[in-house]
Amino acid sequence: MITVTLNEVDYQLKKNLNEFTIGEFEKLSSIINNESLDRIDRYIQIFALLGIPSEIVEDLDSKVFFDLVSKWSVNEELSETEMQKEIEINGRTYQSFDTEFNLNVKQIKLIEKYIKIDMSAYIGELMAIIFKDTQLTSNEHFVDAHIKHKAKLFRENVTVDIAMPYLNYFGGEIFNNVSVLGKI
Amino acid sequence: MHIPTNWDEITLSQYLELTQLNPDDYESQIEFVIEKLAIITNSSSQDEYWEMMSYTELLKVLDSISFIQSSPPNKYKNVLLGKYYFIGYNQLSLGSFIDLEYYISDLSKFFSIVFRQKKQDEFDNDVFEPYSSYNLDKRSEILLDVPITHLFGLVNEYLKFRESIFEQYGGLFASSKNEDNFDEEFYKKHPELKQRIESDMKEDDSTKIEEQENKWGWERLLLHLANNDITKIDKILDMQLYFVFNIVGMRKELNL
Repeated sequence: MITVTLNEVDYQLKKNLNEFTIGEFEKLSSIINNESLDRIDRYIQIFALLGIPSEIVEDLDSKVFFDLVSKWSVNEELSETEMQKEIEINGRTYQSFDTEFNLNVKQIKLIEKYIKIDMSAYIGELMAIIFKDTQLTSNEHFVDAHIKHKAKLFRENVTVDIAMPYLNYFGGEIFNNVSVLGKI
Repeated sequence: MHIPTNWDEITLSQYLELTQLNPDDYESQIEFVIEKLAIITNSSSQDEYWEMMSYTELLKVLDSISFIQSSPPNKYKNVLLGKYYFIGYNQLSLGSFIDLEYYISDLSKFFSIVFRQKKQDEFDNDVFEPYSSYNLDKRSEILLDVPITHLFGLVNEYLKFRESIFEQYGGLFASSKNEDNFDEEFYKKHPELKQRIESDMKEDDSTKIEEQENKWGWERLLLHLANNDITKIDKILDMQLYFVFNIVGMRKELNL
């Protein structure tokens, strides 16, 4: 977190991965990856997401604006490298693996489906597919409505640093081997 | 579940299913890959075996089926199921050749045309089952379970045979743009057809003629050979391909 003062008002800006929820990070990614925005507009929207109203940013002197831009960037250094295998929310436990993490075909199919639906907002679903409610059966885990419910829960309550090792696994293992899949 | 590791373990039916798959019909690449695995293992892509398979295990399986990245080997057997014999392309009748041209994109029917039962006559000569004597659909169903490696090489052999036929007898298939004698003779005998084609012509005359001729190419040849007597066409279709083409070529050359 960094603190910036604009027009004598202090704003706390999140910058570390362990400060953003999955939902916030998805919105941030969506803005960063929006190619229809020019760079200035992009940062105006980013800062609006972080809590600085756009009319404040638009009124800033250009030097102050660029100073603000240079102070802020998402810090990925503090992201988790180890997979956290349990998440607890509202008294319920969600587990990603028992002894060793591995995705099965059904999970990969579902994750790919959600990536296709929205490339900038699938992390919630990815985590929902990976993390099972320990009180539900395997079939109940894969029900669409349950995945949607869990995705929303994780978006609001789980920080994106917890998701990063799983994202890296999916991106690395699956996408790096997509050429193997593609040849078959 | 047995996972095949080479083309010898894939039947014609499975091969045809694989070639008809379209990746655009699937929501994800992995679904498409699982569908292929399901085909070659005679299982369903919805089977729990596939759904619950771990990703690392799937990669190992994909490695073992890497053979399907390439075409089946160019080999074939002369005898299938102990009773169907390859007749040899040089022994084709005109009718069989015409149908092979038509069925080249439907391999199960294609192979049904060239594999026949045979017996020996009283002089110990091989006599093949006549082409018109069996049902092509039923025969193609029988051949679906034959390994693709017992058949695939025949496709390449046919393409070479076909190329040699069109090289040797190409003049017999020229369009009227080239003022072919065959076409002149044909239109002399069937002036009503020429009149009909000319009355249909709108913009591109030569294209229209060529389209008409391409559409009715074989029928024209048969009608010409039968001297416009369609009751004779069946007999002509049963004649040896080389014999028919030699006769047509001779007539054309000698203006008979």
